[in-house]
Amino acid sequence: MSDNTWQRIEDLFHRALELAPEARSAFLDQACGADQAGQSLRREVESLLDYESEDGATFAGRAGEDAPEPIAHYRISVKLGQGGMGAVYRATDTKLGREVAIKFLSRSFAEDAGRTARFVREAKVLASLNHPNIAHIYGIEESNGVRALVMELVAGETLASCVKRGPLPLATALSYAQQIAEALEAAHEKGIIHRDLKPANIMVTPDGPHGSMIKVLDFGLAAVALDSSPDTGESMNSPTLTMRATQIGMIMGTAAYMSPEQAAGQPVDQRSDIFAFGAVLYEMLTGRCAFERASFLDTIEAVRHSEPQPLREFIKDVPGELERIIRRCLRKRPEERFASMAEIERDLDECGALASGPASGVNFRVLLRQSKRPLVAIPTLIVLVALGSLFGWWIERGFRTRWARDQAPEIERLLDAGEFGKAAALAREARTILPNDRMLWKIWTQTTGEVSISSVPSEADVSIRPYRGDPNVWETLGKTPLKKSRVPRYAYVFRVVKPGFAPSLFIGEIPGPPEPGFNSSLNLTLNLRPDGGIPSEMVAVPGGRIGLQYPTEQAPMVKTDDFLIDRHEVINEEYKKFVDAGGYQKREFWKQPFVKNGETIPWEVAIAAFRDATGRPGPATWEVGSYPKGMEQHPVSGVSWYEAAAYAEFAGKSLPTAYHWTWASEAAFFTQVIAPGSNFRGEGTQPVGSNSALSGFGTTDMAGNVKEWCLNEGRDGNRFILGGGFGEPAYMFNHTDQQSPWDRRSNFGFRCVKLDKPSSTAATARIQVTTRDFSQDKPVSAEVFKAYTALYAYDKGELNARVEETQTTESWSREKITFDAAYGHERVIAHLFVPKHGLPPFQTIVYFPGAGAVGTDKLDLSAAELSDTFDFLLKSDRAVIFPVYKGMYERRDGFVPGRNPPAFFRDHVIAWSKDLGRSLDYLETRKDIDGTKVAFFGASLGGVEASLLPAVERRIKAVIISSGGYQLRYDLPEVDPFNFAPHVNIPVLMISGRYDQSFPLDSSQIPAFRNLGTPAKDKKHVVYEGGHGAFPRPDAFRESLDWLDKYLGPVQR
Amino acid sequence: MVQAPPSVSELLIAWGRGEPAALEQLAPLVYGELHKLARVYLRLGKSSQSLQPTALINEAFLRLLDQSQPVQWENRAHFFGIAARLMRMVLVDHARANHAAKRGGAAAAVTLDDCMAVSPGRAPEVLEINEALDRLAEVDERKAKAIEMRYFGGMDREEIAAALGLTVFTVKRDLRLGEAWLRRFLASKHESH
Repeated sequence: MSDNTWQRIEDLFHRALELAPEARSAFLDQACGADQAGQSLRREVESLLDYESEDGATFAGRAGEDAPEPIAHYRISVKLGQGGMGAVYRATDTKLGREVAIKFLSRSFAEDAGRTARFVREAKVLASLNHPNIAHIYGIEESNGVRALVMELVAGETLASCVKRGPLPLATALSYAQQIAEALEAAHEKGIIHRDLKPANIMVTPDGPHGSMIKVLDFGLAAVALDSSPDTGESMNSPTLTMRATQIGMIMGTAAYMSPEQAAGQPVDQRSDIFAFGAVLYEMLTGRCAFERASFLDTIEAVRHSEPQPLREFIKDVPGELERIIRRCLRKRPEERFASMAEIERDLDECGALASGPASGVNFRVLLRQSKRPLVAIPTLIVLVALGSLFGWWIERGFRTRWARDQAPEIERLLDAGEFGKAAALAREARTILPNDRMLWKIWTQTTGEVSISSVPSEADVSIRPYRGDPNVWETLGKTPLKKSRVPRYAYVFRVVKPGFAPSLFIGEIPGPPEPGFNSSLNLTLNLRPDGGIPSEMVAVPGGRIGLQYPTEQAPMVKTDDFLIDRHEVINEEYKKFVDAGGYQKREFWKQPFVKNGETIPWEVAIAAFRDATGRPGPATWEVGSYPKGMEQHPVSGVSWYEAAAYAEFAGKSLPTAYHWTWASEAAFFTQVIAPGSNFRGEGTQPVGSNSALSGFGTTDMAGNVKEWCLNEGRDGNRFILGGGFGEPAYMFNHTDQQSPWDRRSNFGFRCVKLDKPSSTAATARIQVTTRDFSQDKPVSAEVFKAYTALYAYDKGELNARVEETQTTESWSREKITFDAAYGHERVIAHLFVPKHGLPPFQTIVYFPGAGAVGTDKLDLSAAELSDTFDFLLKSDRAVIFPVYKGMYERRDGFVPGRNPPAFFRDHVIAWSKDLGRSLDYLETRKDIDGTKVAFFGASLGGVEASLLPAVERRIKAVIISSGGYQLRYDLPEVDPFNFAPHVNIPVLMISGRYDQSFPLDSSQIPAFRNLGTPAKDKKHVVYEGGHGAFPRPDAFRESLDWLDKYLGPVQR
Repeated sequence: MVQAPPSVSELLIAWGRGEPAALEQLAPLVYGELHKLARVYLRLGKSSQSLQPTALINEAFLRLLDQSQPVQWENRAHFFGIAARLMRMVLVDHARANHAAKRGGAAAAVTLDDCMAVSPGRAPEVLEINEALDRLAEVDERKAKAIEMRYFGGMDREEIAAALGLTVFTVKRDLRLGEAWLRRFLASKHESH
């Protein structure tokens, strides 16, 4: 065979492998040609394909042909995997009609009488282990000298493969750990030591009343496998050398989880499992094996002598208790470890309780959904299930018990349907029947959260209503002090009422299971104010320790006392009183020094700047000294920070500090419930209070309508202005924006606070956080960059693309497509919009959304996303593909920018790149798409990654960055756009707002633009007089379309 | 003056630096050790014992290397690369000796994958695999080499890539096609028997 022919064969072989098996024949037909040489080539490739097997471990013959003979009444079907002791097959028990897993054991077992006897004894004990978290052993079969162990068939994936994808969320890891601990405890009680506990021996099944259920496999088998039978007399000096080869092989895979005493060949007891348990827990939380090293020797060395890297180097905010548990499990000396699994379980339970806390903004249903995700994500059946074993149990228990247990799925369903009250009521009822049932107790604690509310004076009535529920229907919770009252997890409005005192309102969410960094219950003390103690236009807010939001979240927290805040934004009608009272003429109201470019300006000069559209004193949006007709109830807008401060003075109030404002808005916790009902989308202001959304503590419109000036100074003389305004993205509610105090844009307004005593200096101080200075940094070398890009490489395996739904309008059709991700067992979701007009194949724009996508459960493709973001692209007769990248929308996985460990962020960026790549792979399969003409459109976060993704994904031909730049922080270098931008050399259009404080012009936008490797003639930065995501649409659309026309070429019509 | 012979670690490092003479000195040491270990195992396990070459190499590695001197990952890959070749020779030697000694007697079963301590089906013998690899090498030497490293050296793809100076992607492809070729070859041998 000539080299040339062999190369042809090789090429065709691999290309065919990328296709679905059924598509290969057609591919070879076409690729090989019909002549004799072609046919012989084809035969050669096909015969190799016949012998191809992806996990091709064995040479034992043709793939699939080495399935063993049937044994006893079991019909063997597919091979599920291989372990140290032998191969595992799926089989059907023809007598009982159930599916089982069968492990065939080595002939050496069968021939060694001593070990066989021991094995049979062990298996009998193992078979008596009847625990939901332990894979059941049904029995032993023997045939022709082959011994086989018949086991429960467990569906799911191994914990090893879960963890390969990255660390598990704390709540998930704790839940798994508890189940593993229960399994071990049950076994230890019977005197069975696992001896080989490791992630590969732990299955994560997608069923179970609360998401994934754990099944521990191969209990005690290692003992049998490792046991040297007494009749083998020979031994050698080295302890390892006394083992058989198979034993060494087994130990190789297990060394990293083996206790030091086990590694030293000493006798082991349950504390050895405790060590392994610690190593597994560590790995779940960090995604890294505690002791694994490059070589076996080093691994054993590490197990025996080194400490794993501290947990908190991987996870911020790891509960100290958890770290302590792991450390104690991993003590080198068994006597220093926990004495039993029961002890660990107790501590874990406590840890779970400690870690769950108020105000995390985590909704239980979200978690529930997340924990259910594996249902979709796990394709492969690996090992087991004991449908049968549940049966006996079923009959034994009484009806009521069964009923009570039965409620779990129903409770879950009710929760999904939003029927929180019913869910909790059912859980409560079930618990009265089975008060000590562990599972129900778990469900009860999972479906409900603790609320403790006290008031001064006490004996006030506390009632609640769901945040989105009927504003007039209240359910009574009890009287203060309310201690640890359990309430279904959900966002509520709480009301505390006592005759003679002003009512207090606040939004409270009973968060889901624990998330790092948050406390576990809602716990609040209110100082009630006497009736009449609160002006009617204000509400009371209890003091607290308050932190700011992005991008100033590193600013130290500040403590405030109770205070009053305006229920709504200052409205035109109120502001007019100030104007009419000669507010603009009376110097005494203008107490803040006027500073422009660092210079102080006299009042007489400064005041001249504050004119209305007709040159009269007043807000920029007014005319002839008054607001437009019919706008009495609208917030005053078009006011500078100085005017806001003067009004506050006039009203006998003050501007809120950023801390007071943030706290009163409850923005940090409830964006998900507050923002959607607020005025972000409108083309102008709305009357205050006209939106359904209540913001914190009985206020309205803190989200959207107008942005609200706050007292504090920021960088370069700016003042903070919070809450976002109309025309801005909703996530601006969570964004600590700052603007020039002179600016008077049409969505700038304010509200006031009233303090019992002046704010602390900490609360009023200038807020400046250190941010990254790109002029001081240097991108990594080309060589290092090349090494980084290797992280982004993926195998172009089959897409297995499916169209999940289609939608057609008169101007476009949309297909929701899913295809295999390049990692894990996930499916990427993508929406492909194809224009109705124009001629295929279409140019295509790949869209990448802003960070709001990771804070939103579901992609809403109705008008908002379309009309605001890419409708104009479709109208230009181009196709748009909107991939749902990892961690976003339906693919949310706990990723929150800025809150997760850096490695978690890194993994997401790399996943995004692969999602992008797979989306392009998919486009290449479409006849109606021109795969050579693809541009990238990134908004906000997408505009950050626009400096990185095109450096990795070379199929992109042009880029548009909308409101992007660099984030002013350090990311891991392998996902730092700063290191990638020099390698982006395709045309880039950057559209941004001059006042974009997410990506400030000088410190973020300009460095990002300058750092791109694109030649100057092919990059363009257009700066509009606007903020983040807020600039004149027609202009921005025109720029974008011109750019695409220029660099993708005109559209075919 | 007599110089102390260089240690295995030193030889590996020298070889990693590109001194071919180091390999000349290294190979006999590794070969000798592997032979010794294989003898011990086969005696210990009697005829029915299956033998895992990769475990043997690990043992050899542990015994030969100067423990006080850390070995770079790349050098470890090189060591295993050499050892894979030698292991194959050792096993072939043993198998031939066995055949000669007790014609028709059961040769030691050799399992070529760490996970495959046992196969319910019939495992091919060392000599068959040896022949198949020789034949594959005639078609594509690199693939034969990669498979040798994988199955006789227990090396993973990254290590093979490092030892052969290839990308992991290429190694993956090489293994996939090479394995298919080998399976086909072995199957045809069986049929023709």
